[in-house]
Amino acid sequence: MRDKSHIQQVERWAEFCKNNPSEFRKYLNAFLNAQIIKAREFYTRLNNSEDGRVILNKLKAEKLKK
Amino acid sequence: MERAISDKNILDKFVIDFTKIVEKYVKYIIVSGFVSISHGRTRGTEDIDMIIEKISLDKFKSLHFELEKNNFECMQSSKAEDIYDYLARKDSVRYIRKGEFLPEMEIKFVKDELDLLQLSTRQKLPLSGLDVWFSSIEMNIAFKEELLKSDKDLEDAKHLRIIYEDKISESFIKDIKKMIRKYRLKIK
Repeated sequence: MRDKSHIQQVERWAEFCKNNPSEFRKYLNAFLNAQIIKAREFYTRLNNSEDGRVILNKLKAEKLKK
Repeated sequence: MERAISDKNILDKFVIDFTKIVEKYVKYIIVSGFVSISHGRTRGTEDIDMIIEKISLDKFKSLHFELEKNNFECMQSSKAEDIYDYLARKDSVRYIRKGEFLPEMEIKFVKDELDLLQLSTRQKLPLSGLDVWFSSIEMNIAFKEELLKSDKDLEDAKHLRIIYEDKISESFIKDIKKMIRKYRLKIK
């Protein structure tokens, strides 16, 4: 749930990015890469089974509806 | 596996490789979530949004073939004509690198005066660390605060407002919001 502390963290982090332009990227890149890598690993696991491929196709169909 | 931390993350490299091809054929902008993420916003996305000028089928075919030659594929179809139909109908199409599930580039044609304004006021944003064309910071803030309005979008706008404090035009944001109300929300 997004309470006041959440927006305070958004503001704190934005100030850090603004004041440390050469520093923030290492944290950001690790975070973003980890998300993509974990998601790819999951989709690869799905793709390795027939049931998984059915789910993958449903996910893809849902995405392409947008 | 790409676990090493380099200057550019997976999304950055994808955008760089994709836009290097697109810009040979058509004017484009990167919009929405990736704009704030490239300025440090820590939230996930699996797709990057791109708006392009409306081009002819022939020109689009050339673009599509070069994307394919460079290992990108369209999720909807491999046929340029089919993909062009989607775009002409004002639907979006999604490209990925062959053999990879993520990330995706979601592409749309310009659809109204507002999109045309976004394209005409596009900018390179050095603070992003990327040499690509983005819609302006004012555009991004206006869309997130006036049209999208989810918690995530309002936080994106807040993040950009802090990063670009004293550098953004409030009057431009106000004008864009007026256009959003007219063209997207259909409020007179």
